[in-house]
Amino acid sequence: MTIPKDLVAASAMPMVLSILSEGPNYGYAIIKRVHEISGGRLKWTDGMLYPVLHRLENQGLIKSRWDVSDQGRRRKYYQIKKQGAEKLKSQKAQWEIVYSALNQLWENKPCLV
Amino acid sequence: MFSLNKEINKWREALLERQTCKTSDLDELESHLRDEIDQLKLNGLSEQEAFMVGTHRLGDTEILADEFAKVNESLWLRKKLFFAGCVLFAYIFASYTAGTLSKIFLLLTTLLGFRGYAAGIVDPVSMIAVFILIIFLGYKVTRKKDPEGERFSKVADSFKGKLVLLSLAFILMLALMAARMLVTVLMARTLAVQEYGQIITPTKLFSNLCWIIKPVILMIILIYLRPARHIKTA
Repeated sequence: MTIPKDLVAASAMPMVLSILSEGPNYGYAIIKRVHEISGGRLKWTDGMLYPVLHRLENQGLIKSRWDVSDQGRRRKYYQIKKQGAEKLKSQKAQWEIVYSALNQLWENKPCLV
Repeated sequence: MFSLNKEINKWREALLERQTCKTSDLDELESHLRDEIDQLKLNGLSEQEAFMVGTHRLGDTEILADEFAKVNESLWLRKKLFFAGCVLFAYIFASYTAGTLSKIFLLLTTLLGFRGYAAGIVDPVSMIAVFILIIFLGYKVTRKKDPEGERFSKVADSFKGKLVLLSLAFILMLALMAARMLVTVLMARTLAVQEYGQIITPTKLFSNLCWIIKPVILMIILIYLRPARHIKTA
């Protein structure tokens, strides 16, 4: 089952912020992490992550710096900022509302009493 | 023979074509691609296969470039404005240089002993000629030295580059202005009032006409030379 584009796009921001709240990370590893936690069902076009990251940076939610990896490769690391953590908190609350609303509809069995 | 670096450069150029990505964006994507290629090679793919799978996973270059355009919108707009400013300055610079040089020609003509209304024609005629020459040569030289507009982008991207360009332009304009004033003073001093008046009359008459002619000439030259791709999109 593949997740439609709209849903992928909508969940990208909380997804990235959540992963970065675990610690600083770079694009390639973020993609791998998304792949891993969704069991490969959440398919991102790899390159599309970067515009998302840059947008979050422009909004002041995360910050970035260039560093060199163990293999000597230049990498851009992203780190969540305080505003980002706050944003994540509000996003989490929003997603929980949607989730619990749907859950109630789906789990409401007909009452026999 | 498959050369990874060559292929990666080609791929970068394809992304750069739309002028929506910054160099740092491309560096970041390349770093990602190389990580992916390393991983795929560990999984048993050849370098060429790994490159193809890696670029495919990163996504279509055109769609990707468009996506970056949305994020870099302000950057793109700034570049466009800077380019428009440069064109405007080039126009002013070319007219001003032509104006100054034509005044020098006029001075030389009068020093050679030419007088009257006919001598005054030297100024507007040489002005138009020099104007055409500057625009034409300026365009040819830029196209030859910087065909893809890379150097231009480099200057436009850095604050220091813009500052240097601006101060250089300012100094040049000042020097031209000084030369122009000097020529006018010299002419007024060496010629009798009557002679000066006769020479200046056609000059003034035509200089008004030149303001209309010059933009038209500029258009014709630009259409004839056809702007480069980056000029159309920038």
